[in-house]
Amino acid sequence: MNQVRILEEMIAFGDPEPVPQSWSPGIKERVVAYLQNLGLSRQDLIENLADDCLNRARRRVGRGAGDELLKRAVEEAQRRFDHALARAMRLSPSKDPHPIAAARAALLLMSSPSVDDALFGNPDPSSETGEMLREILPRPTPPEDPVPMAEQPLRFWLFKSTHQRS
Amino acid sequence: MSSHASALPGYVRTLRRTFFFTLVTLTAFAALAMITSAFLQNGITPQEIVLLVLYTLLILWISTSFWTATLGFWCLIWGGDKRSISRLAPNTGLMSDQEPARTALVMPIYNEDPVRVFAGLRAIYQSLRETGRADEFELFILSDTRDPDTWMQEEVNWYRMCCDFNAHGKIFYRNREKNIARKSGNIEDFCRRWGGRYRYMIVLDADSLMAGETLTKMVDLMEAHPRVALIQSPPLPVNHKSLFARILQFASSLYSDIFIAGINFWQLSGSNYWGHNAIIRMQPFVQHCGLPKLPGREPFGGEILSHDFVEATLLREAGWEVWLAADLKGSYEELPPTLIDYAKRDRRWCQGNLQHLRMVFARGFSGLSRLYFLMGIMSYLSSPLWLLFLILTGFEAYVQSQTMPVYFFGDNIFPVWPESYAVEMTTVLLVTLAMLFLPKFWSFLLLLMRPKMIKSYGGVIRAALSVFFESAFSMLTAPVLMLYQSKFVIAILLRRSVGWPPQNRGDHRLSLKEATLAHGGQTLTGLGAGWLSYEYVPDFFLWLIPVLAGLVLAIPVSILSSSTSVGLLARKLGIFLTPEEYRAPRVVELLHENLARAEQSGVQIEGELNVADPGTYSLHFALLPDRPVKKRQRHQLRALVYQLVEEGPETLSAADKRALISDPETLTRLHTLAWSRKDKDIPQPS
Repeated sequence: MNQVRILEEMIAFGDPEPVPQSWSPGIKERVVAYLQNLGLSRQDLIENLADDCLNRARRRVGRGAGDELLKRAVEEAQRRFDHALARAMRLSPSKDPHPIAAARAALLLMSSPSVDDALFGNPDPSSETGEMLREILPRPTPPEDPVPMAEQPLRFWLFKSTHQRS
Repeated sequence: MSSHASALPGYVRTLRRTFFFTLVTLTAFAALAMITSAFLQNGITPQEIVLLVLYTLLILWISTSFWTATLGFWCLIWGGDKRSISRLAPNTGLMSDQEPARTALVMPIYNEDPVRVFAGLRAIYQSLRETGRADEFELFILSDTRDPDTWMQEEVNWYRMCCDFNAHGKIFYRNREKNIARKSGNIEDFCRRWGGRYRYMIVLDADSLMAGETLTKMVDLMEAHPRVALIQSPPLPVNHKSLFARILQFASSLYSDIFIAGINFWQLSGSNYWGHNAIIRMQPFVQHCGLPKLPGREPFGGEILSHDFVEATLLREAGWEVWLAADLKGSYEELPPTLIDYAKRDRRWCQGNLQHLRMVFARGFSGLSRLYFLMGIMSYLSSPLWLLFLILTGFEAYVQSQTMPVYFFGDNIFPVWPESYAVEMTTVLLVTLAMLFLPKFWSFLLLLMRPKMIKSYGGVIRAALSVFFESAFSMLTAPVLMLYQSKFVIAILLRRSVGWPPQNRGDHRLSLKEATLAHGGQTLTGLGAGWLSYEYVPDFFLWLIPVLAGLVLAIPVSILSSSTSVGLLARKLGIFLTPEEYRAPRVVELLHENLARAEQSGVQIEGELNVADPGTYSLHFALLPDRPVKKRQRHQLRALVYQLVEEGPETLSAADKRALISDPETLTRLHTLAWSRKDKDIPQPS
């Protein structure tokens, strides 16, 4: 569970938030569920993180806007997760959204825990762990090596040929 | 064209083709002479001329098929063809200085079941790794999928496959933004972008299955024969459990050997491409096979649907060799599971083949290429021709039955007895039937000559019973397919496009409603034709019974044959058993294991857009191209998001949903929205 704890600590990284007040029913549960879906498992940390995200969201929305509050809190959780990954990958969360998304996908979809161990074995991830994560990043296509493929003109008797303009 | 010499002497091709076409023509002439002599006795009528023309076309078609099978049978009883590609001496002298070949395994997919697609791909890749030569290959999943759910499922399946095999950078996936020119456009897009990276590509279909050894053997054959541009492997149908598919699997397994050997006998290096399970040399393909859009509108104009025949023709006409590797095993595909699905597939293929009518008139093509196009057309046109032949024969029989014989005329004092043509007509009928059924007999005979194989077909008695039941089944379904194909041909000739819908490949039992809707018209046609012939031409009615039985029984036959339990019962009894069922080849075994594993782990993601799952959403985001979106499009996307939120996903079309998840910003918005509505249930991602 070490790697989970370190991931949780990395996500929790940020300004300490004030002690949370009580939230409308359903809101906090939703944020907690989202954090669990991001791979967090330590209940006390999830609770604190959920409160942090909600408190930060509260500053941006007026009272009574439940859905908007929830949306902002989820966005805050996403932001923290992406910043943690960006630190590990030595990337900029704002400039490299696709590589960050790829790293997020790799972490969330990959079933092998060994890479997570290597990545989050150190609170201050070295370039090696970043490289290790890069190895498992989704690589959908290889570098292009284009070749021309010209349309073959076909000429027909009785029918219009392909090179004729209509 | 290649500068290398062909390993096959040119005279062999000429001699074999001359021999084959002489046999076909002589047989057709002999049958035609008999029927003409019968018609000429009392002077020939216009409808008899039409009957003769129809019979000429049909007997030529049957005779071609018969002699192909017979010559194949002849080759196989002597241990196979010495002139097959795998037995020709290699010609590698000039190639030895080249770098090792890199081969792309490409699988174009379009809205297919991702679970089956990836179970098959995994089996192929596993089998390839077992050969120890997987490093020579790269796997490309070329998705043209439009359905947004399927698209995201494909991505997750692809990434999991990369992880499971530690094959990052060896297995690739791309989804085309616009599926221009369907499958051929999909392959063409791949060639244009990555064609320079590979010496060969092996094209797979969504249901293809190929053993690793077969893949490496195909590469070795290409390396050994630099003049060869394409080698087609003969795929055997496997893997289905419905009675319909099992009967077809049995027929293909037992009968196809002689047909494949026969095709190779006369086509040799001028063979054809069947669209998948084939290896292609990249350089000539990109040089000669860029397909144009045909002028005019569908069905005869527009994109070339059945691209394979055209591509093979362009390669041959450019001087390259195209071979059918008749003795290559380990190449498999799947069949439609029911008679209705089979007809639906026919409907798509029919339009593609009829479009080739234009190719028959292409300038500069050889006679052989034109013949191939004509044969493709005839495989569907023969149905309306048979139908017309039956109708005219019935009409002719009615006219004959109404004609009163005149025994005394002119100055004859003795009666002139009407001549009987029963002998000629019966001979014609028997010859035609013999040509239709003898290939089945040749195949059975060949099986008896291979004692080791008999057990894998369930033994002599079960194999014989299987042949008998298969023949009966094909007699029952032939009239149904005749009516279907006739309908398709007429619809296409009336310029009604049939589209290119994805296939239903999974086993499923037909309901009475489905079967009645599909076959009700045929049943009524059968009853109507039966009543008419029984009432007006009773003698003809007896001859028509096999055709009528097929039509009248279409609904129960279709339902019964779609049943997997009946199919499995037959298998338990050893009926329609194939060697691939008796002892599954390794790659088929791997497919079954992968399917079972996928079923257990519940890999299939059900439901609507799966943007809620952080992993799936992130992967999809990562794979999307980073394109700027115009202001107008941004507003349209926002409007669609509001529609989704306010009116529900059911109000959006698949194209709308695809547009939503094709834009990274909107995708993130949807993901966040999925989690930020406290009045909804918490999303249950996979």
